[in-house]
Amino acid sequence: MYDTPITHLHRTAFIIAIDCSTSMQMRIKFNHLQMSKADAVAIVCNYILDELLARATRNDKVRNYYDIGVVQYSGDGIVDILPDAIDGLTPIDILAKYQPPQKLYCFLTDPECEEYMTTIKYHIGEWITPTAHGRTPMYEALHHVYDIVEKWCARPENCESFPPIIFHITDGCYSDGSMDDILTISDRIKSLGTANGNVLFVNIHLSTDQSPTYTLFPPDREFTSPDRFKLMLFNMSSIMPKSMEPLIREATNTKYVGPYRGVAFNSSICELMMVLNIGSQSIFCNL
Amino acid sequence: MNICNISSFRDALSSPRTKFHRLHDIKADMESIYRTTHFAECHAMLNNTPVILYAPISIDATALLHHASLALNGKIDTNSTRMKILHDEIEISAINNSSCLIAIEYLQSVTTLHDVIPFGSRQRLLQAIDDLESRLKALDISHNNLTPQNLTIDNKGHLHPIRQYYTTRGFGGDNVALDKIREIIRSETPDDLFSKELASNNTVCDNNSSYTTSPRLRAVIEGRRAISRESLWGFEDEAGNEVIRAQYSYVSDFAENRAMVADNRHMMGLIDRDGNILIPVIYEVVEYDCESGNSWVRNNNQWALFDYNGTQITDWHDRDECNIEL
Repeated sequence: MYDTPITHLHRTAFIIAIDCSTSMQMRIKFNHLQMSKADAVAIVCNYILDELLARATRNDKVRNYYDIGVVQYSGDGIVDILPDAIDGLTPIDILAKYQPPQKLYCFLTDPECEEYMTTIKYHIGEWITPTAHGRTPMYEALHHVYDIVEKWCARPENCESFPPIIFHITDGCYSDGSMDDILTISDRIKSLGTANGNVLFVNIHLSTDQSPTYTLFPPDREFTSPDRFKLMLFNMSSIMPKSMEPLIREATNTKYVGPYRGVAFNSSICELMMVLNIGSQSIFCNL
Repeated sequence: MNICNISSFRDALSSPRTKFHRLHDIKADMESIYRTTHFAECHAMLNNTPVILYAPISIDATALLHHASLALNGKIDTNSTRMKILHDEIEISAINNSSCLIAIEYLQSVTTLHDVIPFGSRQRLLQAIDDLESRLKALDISHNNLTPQNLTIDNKGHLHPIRQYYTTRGFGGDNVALDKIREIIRSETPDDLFSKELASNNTVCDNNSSYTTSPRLRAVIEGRRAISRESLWGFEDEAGNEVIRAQYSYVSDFAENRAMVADNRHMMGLIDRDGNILIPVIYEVVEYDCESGNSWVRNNNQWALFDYNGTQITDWHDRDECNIEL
């Protein structure tokens, strides 16, 4: 399971669902810098898109390894924002034609000791711009994600592919449905998949919690938090497959044994890159 | 037989496209959600028609609806309120694919007898009651729950029973209730204003009219429900724990993690869902817009804009100088 090499014949799908509601105007400390949650979402989403594009590029040619979707939900409703999307997804070779100008970001690293912080510069394409207005139709958005994934998995050419990976970036605060509704639709999403495994649903929580600690791929044990949104996101997330556990242990330097949940709380961009690496770099890309 | 609860009913009304099997276009008045012994009910608009939805919340409720439906079956006249049972209408759990029925009443008017009694014509209203009694007799049914709140009145003065879920076959069950309503009309109505008021008040299908004087539950919004203790308002969480002490004379519901509050001096401010004060409760007006996240704030008749984080982002100006849309 979770071992099908990704080729142009056996592509996989990445769906990034982003919360762009008013509450994303809240200021947070992200990468040791003060910014709005909407800024952080844009950085993470743009980084993921750039990284996937880089991984699909061989000898300056973009190979058609991935179908990509970005679902934005806000007061404007649910919107597929990538160009030329069919059933919510754009093949990466098509997406490459729309590569946006890049922007320079400077991030600080080493949260252990501020004295030894270093600056890392990233050039990241501005695929999406920060936006934050209106309500949070998370429940409807997850239904939309379900529809996208269900259609992708139903295509005969995808039936043996590596299963779709969903990154959901939010502060957890929703304005439609109930918590039970959201957990129910999350379970339905996780029940989808291919012959190679179920969908991997990874939730990235952007919290105003200023504590310096972050949690990345926590062990799938009894999880408690006074923050009910955190708890909800933990329960929404997939249990990561056993084949990824060595990578998770190595990347997070955790003392706990698996299985682990695919969830990140208060993570910096460096840690979030690990999420992406663990979620996708372990996949073989065959030429 | 599945039954609903008030929380799942409210949630379904918030997401009709996904939670209702047929009523995808229903537009609920969420403020009107109300619980009775056996039903959760809500006023709504369906294709420009005012309706009331009833979801069974007790074991007996479903049986009551079926009995009422049988009693009403074929026994309607032009002044009857049409009631329909929609089986498997609300999705309760997607996991085990369970759903429950719902009843819908299509209203001919949203103005209740209770609304017009204070200014209605005693003679005309008593006549309308007599007419209603005759119709119930002709149909050979008893409503069994007749009150001024459970009768709507159109601009011709005809009464239409609503909340018909206790209806049974056989006339006579409403005699005491009808006499009681007559007594209320005799004691509370002035005279000779009725036709004038109703003629000038074209209230048929007027969705802005007051639906009911029944007490209304504040809904749980974003995990918080406004609660009142000794006339002061605070918030509790979904489990019923008081999380923001009852200390305000007014609170709005939460929208995108912000609620407007006022103290007993009528000074307003803005708080978040943990009770943290973003805009101090010292201003004459705070008008928060959850679309933009900004709030217009008035102080000494001067207005300024504050952002989502409670930071003032414009200077104070006269209202004329601001592009305020309140």
